[in-house]
Amino acid sequence: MKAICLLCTAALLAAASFPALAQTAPAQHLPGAVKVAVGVNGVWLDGPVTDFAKDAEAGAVVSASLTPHVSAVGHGFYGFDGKYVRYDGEARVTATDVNDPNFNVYLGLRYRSGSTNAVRPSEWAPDAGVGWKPNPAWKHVIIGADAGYGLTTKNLISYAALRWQF
Amino acid sequence: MTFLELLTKYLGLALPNTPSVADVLKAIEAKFPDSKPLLDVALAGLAAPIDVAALAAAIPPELLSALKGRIDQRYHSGDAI
Repeated sequence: MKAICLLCTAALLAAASFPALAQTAPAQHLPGAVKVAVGVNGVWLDGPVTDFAKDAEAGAVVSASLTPHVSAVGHGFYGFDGKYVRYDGEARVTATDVNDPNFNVYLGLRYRSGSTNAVRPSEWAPDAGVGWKPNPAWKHVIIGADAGYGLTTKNLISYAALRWQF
Repeated sequence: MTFLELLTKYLGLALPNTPSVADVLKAIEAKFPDSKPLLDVALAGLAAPIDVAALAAAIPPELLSALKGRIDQRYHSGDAI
């Protein structure tokens, strides 16, 4: 937990100190509906067979808004304690309040896998989550949470997220 | 622009390799011949050209702006999670 708090604090300080990063990132040249974000997670794994209960991760997310309510998202994250790489691709149905476009909820279906037994085997996992831009003045900072239930392992992988979106 | 084209464009319903609505209606008509008069009306309505500009002019500006904002909402903060 201490590692998670340190990572989150470091990420927030980095976000406040490097606004110019957003101006020069390659994602600047992507079509408007494609986004790239980097960030950290506090992640918890709960299920019948677990190699770890919690961890801190860092990684990236690439997303494409296909229609106003459908997005395709891919994740890749490294877990520091478990020394694993966890990755997935998913399709989501999203809902955003037109009066508050900074708050968004979604339901999705992802295909997830990883580099160690803790985050394997590859499996389908329905998931749900929420994303929120807490301060519109911090236009690149997003926080949120997600939980996905593996249909094969019956493992629930949930995480709290902090992101810098380019 | 027909009503079907309007639906397809603004609600993101365009899906490749799916039967058209007209094809579906014709399949229903083949199975239920008595429904032909109703289906003919439905087909004519779908194929009828729509004056989008006149339709937009009839909608109050505030409602049109709100509708457009909702339809055009492509940014989802949750996509970064």
